[in-house]
Amino acid sequence: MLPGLHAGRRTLVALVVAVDLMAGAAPARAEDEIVLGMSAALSGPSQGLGIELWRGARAYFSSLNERGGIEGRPVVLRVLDDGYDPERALTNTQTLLEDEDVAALFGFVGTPTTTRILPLMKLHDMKHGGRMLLFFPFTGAQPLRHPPYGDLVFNLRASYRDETRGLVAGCSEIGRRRIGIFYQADAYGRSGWDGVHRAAARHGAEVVAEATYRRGDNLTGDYSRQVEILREANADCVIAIGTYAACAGFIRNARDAGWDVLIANVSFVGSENLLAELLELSAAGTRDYTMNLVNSQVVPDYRDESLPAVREYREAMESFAPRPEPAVSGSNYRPVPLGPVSLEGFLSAKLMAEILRRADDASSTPDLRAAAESVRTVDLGTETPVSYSANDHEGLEKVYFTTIEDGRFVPLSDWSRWRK
Amino acid sequence: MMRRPRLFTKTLVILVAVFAVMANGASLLFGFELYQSLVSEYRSKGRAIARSISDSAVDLLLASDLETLQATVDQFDQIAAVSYVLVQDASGTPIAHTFVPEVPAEVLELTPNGRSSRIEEFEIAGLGDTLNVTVPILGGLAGNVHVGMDYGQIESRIWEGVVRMQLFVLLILAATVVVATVLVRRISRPLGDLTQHASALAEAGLESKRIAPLAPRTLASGDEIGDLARAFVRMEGDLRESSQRLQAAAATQERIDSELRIAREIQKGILPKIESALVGPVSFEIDAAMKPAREVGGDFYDVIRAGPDHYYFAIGDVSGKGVPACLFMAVTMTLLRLGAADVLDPAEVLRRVNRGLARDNDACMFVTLFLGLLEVGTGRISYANGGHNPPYVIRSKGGIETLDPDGVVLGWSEDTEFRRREIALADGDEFFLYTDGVTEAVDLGGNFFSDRRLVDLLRRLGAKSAQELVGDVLREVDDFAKGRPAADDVTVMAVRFHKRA
Repeated sequence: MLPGLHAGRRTLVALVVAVDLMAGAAPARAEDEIVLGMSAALSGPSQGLGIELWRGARAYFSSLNERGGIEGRPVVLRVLDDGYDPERALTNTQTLLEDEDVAALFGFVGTPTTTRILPLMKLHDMKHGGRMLLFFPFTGAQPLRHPPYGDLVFNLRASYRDETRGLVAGCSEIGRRRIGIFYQADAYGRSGWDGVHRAAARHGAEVVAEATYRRGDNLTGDYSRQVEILREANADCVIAIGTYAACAGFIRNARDAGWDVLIANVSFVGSENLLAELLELSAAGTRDYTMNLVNSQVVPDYRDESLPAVREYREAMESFAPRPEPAVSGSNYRPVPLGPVSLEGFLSAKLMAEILRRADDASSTPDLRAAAESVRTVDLGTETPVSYSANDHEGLEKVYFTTIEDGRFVPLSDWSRWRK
Repeated sequence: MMRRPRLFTKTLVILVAVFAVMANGASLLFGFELYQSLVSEYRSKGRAIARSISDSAVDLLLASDLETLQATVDQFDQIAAVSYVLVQDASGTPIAHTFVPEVPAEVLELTPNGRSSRIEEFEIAGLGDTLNVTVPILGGLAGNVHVGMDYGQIESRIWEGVVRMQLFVLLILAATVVVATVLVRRISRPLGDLTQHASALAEAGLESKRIAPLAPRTLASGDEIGDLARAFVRMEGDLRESSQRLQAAAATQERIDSELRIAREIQKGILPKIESALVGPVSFEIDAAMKPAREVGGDFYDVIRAGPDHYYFAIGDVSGKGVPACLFMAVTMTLLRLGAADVLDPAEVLRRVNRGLARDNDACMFVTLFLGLLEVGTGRISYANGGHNPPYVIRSKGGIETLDPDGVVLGWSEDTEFRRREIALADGDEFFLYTDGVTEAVDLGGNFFSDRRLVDLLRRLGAKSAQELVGDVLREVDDFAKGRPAADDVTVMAVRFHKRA
């Protein structure tokens, strides 16, 4: 048994972030509310993802509710903290399904957590008839996209396979075909690992080495052994499937060891959180830790105000600027004002509202499914239309690439600077 | 604070040692049993886990759902005894595992066992002793599952158990020692009291007033130690009493001894100083000596001047010994001196002495007495014998003669008669007188000195100066009876005649 690998904490403490209703509006009766249930990491090394996703969604729902909600019914987002622990995610889901009587699950964060609750959704479905649905989880893992559970989930974002394929393709094109994988020893890491292996075969690249880390390890961990393993195999490009705290630690150890290899991260890393950690490290030391990094994203650049969605997002964030409650996130978390994760939350909420609007009865799961599957070429303002059908629950498949310049992420269109 | 008696400390130490050996033995046995059961538990657990993963892996592999496979594997890894889980595809490539940061080479080198499962033990750097269970997926066609069970945990669990047991045993031991100490103290306190009391007694003596008496609780104790204490106190009382008696007796003895010493001096004073009684440049030479068997004796001798040319010489032996004999001797000598004052007839003197003694002789004591009368100038000797050993006459020309035994002891009857006899001595002839202390002296072998030995001695010595003869005979008797206390007073007297030139 590797100590510390299992998180062991099964706290039933359901920290509900109260979602306040529109200011000034007549308080809606409970039965009027459309309640969506969310379980995400609001604490622990991945708290930035849960909090930012929630902030984006919250900004949208607040503005929606201000405009009268869905035909007068406010949309309420009930969020519970699972600390990125599958067991707690399971307990939270039970609470949401049994006690909160939510209309649908929304915006779950993480692969090990989300894949863990899928059987529970199926069981709930068997007991109550009509399928409980999960909308727009913040993960690109395959089980959400395949039988037996794929039809319970509607995805907005591209999959990890899409992201890793893009990264492998990008690396291969500039001659970097010796790929090293740094990944989290769990279902998330395995998902990315699988994606890299599949893409490598297709692009004539080779996985030369792989190294894992334990879920829950953070910036203070030592990743020099992993750096050694990948470096000794002479990898010329490292694809990291991890969380921002661990990936920042890995980047630090790699650069401290004098290894300036190209390191690519996927969207789940939470690029803005990663950037914050790296900038802090750079400020504390003499080294610039933001060099030679690529991030794949599943939403467009949040600064690109030519996109209507981005304009709308920035407006809502400015107006509502949802702040995480200290009780949930701990006092030491500093929210990222704007970023891809909150943009994703915002877009997810926007599409959710569209589906709720289309449903005859927003509380009825079959109606929600029908409404969702009726979505055809809906543009959320990203210039990439979203379509669903009974056989296809994949929304966006586009992957964007970014890199860090002058201490901020910018879109990356040309990889040639790292050509080998 | 009383010291714990050594006897009990020894017992306690032995007890603790036995206890420790037993406890360690029990721990050893316990550890061994635990090891056995844990090993078998780990084996069956490992096999069950590997089978379970292998079964669920089939569907997941066919659906190429590695995320869920990984999630499954992670769940099994949460079992405390599981060190790792590795799923390999048919080509041996790891497709899900729990290793950080990488799959160790030792595990990758494990070869599948065809269609059957296999259990093997090996050591992995960083993981320690591991029990690896390999179970094929779909008979090995789809791959293999390896489950590592942490043997090191068995060891640590055993140690934990053993340490816990030892702690428990130690606790019991401590409690036992405390209880035993209290018990021992309670049992041994009276014994310690007794020991202290006895050694104080031995040091200070029975008479010391400074010794504290035994504590009442010691005497009241109902067990054997109480019995011992009571017996001791009784004995101490007896001892003290007997010691006091002994001291009183010693004081009495002391007084008697001192009185006897005085009596002895007095008796010595009664006997004449022969030097002064020597008959000057006349024709007789006399010497005598008396050695009482005790402080005082009943033998006596005397030389009494009975006129210008006459001297009485006497030797006697009072029946019995010690103070009574001494007193009777004193009376006899007084009567003798009184009786001899105005008569020149030994028989008459004896008659007078006899009458004096026999009158009011309630103690029924008697005395033998030989009385001689020297006629200075003629060398004639007249004598009378009252039952005394007849003296010897040593002739200067050689030869020894014995006077005939004669007469009856004095003090027996008032009417006893004594005869006067005479004997003539030539120049150098010597008269030897003695009491039966001489002939009845006993040596270590129980033999008497005897008349024969005396006669032989006198013959050997021959006539010589009276002083020499007395000294020689006494020395000879002393030598004979060496090492044995004299049974009777020894008295010797010699009278030698020298014809006037």
